[in-house]
Amino acid sequence: MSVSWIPQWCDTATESFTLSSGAHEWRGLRPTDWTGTGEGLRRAHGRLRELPVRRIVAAIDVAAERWAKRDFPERRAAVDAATRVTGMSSETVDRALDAEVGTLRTASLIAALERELGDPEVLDGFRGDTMAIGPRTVLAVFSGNVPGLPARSLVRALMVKSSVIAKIPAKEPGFTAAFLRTLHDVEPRLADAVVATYWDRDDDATMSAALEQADAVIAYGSDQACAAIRAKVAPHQVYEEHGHKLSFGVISDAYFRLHGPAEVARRIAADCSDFDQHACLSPQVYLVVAEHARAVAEHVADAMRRAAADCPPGTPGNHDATVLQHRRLVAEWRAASSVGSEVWAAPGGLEWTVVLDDVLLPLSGAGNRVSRIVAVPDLDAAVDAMRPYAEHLQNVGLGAVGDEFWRVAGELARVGVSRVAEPGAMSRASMQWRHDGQPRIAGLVRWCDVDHRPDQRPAHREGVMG
Amino acid sequence: MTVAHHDPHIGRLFEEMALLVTDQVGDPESIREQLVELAAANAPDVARYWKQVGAGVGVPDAAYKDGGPHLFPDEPAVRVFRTSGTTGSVRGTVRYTRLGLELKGLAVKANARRSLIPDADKPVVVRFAPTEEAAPDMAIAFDMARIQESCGDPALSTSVIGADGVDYELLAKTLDAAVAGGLPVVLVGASFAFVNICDRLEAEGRSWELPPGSRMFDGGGFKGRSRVMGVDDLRAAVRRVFGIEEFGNIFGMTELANQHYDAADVPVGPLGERPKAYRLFGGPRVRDPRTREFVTEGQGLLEITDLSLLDRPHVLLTGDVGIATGDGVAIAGRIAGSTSRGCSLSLDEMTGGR
Repeated sequence: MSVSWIPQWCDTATESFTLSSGAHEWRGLRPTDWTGTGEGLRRAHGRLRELPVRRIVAAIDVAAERWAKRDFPERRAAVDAATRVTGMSSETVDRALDAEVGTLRTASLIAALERELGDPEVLDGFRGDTMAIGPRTVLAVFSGNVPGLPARSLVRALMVKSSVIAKIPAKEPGFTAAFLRTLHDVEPRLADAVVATYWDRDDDATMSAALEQADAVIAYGSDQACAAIRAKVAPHQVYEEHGHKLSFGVISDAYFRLHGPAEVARRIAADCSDFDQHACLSPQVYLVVAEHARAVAEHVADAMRRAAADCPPGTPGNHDATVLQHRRLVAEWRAASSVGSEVWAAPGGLEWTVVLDDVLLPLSGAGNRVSRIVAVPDLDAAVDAMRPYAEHLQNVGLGAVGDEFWRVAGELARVGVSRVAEPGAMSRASMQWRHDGQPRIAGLVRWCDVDHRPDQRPAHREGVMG
Repeated sequence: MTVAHHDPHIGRLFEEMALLVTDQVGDPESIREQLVELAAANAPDVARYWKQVGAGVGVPDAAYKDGGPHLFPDEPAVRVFRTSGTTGSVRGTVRYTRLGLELKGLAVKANARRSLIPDADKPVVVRFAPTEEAAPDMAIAFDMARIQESCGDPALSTSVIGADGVDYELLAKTLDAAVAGGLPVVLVGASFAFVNICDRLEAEGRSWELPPGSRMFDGGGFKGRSRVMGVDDLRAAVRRVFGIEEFGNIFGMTELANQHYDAADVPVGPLGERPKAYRLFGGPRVRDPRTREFVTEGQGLLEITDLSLLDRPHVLLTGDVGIATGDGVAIAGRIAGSTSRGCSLSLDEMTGGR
């Protein structure tokens, strides 16, 4: 099955591309006439504008409902492709898709629209004296670390009635086109407004040609990759960026006492195991009050083992395995040469690692199920430990209770954190979350306000579409 | 029970290690076993580490950022070298005792005699590294001085790095004299120094046709540098500027005593890095990332065995990727800082892996 999605209306010339991982190859098509493709997308955008936002949401909900079933054939094919290219187990990919697709249901999409726009129907026409207009075409450049990740931005763009040029992630090529095929079965006007394809990172010509067709740009990737895209964005283009991000967890004394070491450890292990810890939402370190740090670490070792039995870890490629073994040996040296450090690891393999330390530096890093527990004197010290990374902070699993929760959450917000989650649920961000701290639906739209009082002003001008 | 530096056992071990590296005579396995026992006896942290991960597994280079294990802490250091430090990292130090430094000198000189220019008598050695007097805490200055001592023409060989950087006049004068006398030249120094020097000389339109047999040896690579150049690109620049046709690379680290030369002129690593062989006195090997066993083919963790290293454990995990081939092992860049996936960043990448 092709990893590209080229709508039937798109009869301009295409060329083929091949993505590969080890012995596996995936093929797709890429338009070569971007001017013609852009014109087609703008026409598709015109047809999309005729759909009320709630119809769009309902169609996405139906597609998501089909994808929520693990035996849905398109999903199985996407899971198989993702396991081959990411090395994750199918259970890990399935859980990632459960989390991502689960956010695309009507209730959560409407909640997201209401949070950011107040009234979703401002996208359909004037509500009172205001209406919101999405871009004609969004260019979304995705990077692949979490299966299903492109769904969020794709759906946000479609909800504001934008057509989309999606650059699919090389490391997770199957999902986008497969989801669009389902969407096409449900409501062709949605999928017809999307071209999903791929070009190499250094293919400036295609990037520039695609960019010329866009009114808005969404970039995912490393800071360097995002900077390269940002440098090409014109002043009239809306720009949204999801660059490098770091996440942490925190466990307070009160939280430890409330839930007990086994449950706290289970939650930490879940956060460090979800998506094999590849997501930017995954914690790099859990900062735990010192008096409980060792007890927590010991229980986390047991919990990581259980999590691995419940949801098998992936098979990291040779390079990732080299990184992981190196981190483990650096941690073992640290444990052998300092009092407050210890390592627990899956016997004979790389499936999971737990590292206890009393300082954040030197770092042994995380990823591929490395749970780093760092002892801190108190919650203020935990916040201080994160301050140097303010620029990249994203998500904190905050295990705190009552007033201390709100006090620390406020501190974290001021430092730079954009999401505070429950330990154990760090990887499951809702659609209502203002992704990386910005309104990602409202951020795409332009508003028009009627600033005078005509004689007859209906509360809602039915049938006048945006 | 620790073993003191002045213990007769250490004296005998020193003799065995010296013979092994200078004359390639002796039993390397016996020396290795003695070095494992010595490290375990004299450095409790090394003993604890090996208990967890297996005896003889390399100590990570990161250990030396905190001072690291030293096998004779009570013995006065005769030299202290500072590690280079990569971007965002802390510079560490390594200490040498009298016997340790002597052994290092013997090893570097013996290796240079074997590998630098085996078929020429006393070439002019031009060092793109500071003198020992100018940079007493730089291991590369020590090593390059020993290379010159062992192989170089005593009259013309020199360092061309002064207090203000490269002394281009001295360089030109030395190369002109070598050309006039028909003496082959060995240019030896840091990879990045070659890049800067070639840039400058090419911009000025200056070049030489050095006599046949002249060679270039670079070392250090480009870690922590803003600009990275492939092996063949660097060699092409050196060929244009100096008219040199023979090239080699030397792998050395401050944490190690000995150096390692290319075993074959075959590009293996991503930048065309050439393989280095495991010799009687040690060298690079690759540990499987999953089992930690040594592999003869493929990629994994680079570990250097140095049977000329007396003051520290004789095995070092350098923090580099190693690629094992039939010709030896290519050192193919740092392990850390290369795993970001999309928007996910790990803390060690942010800090250069240290």
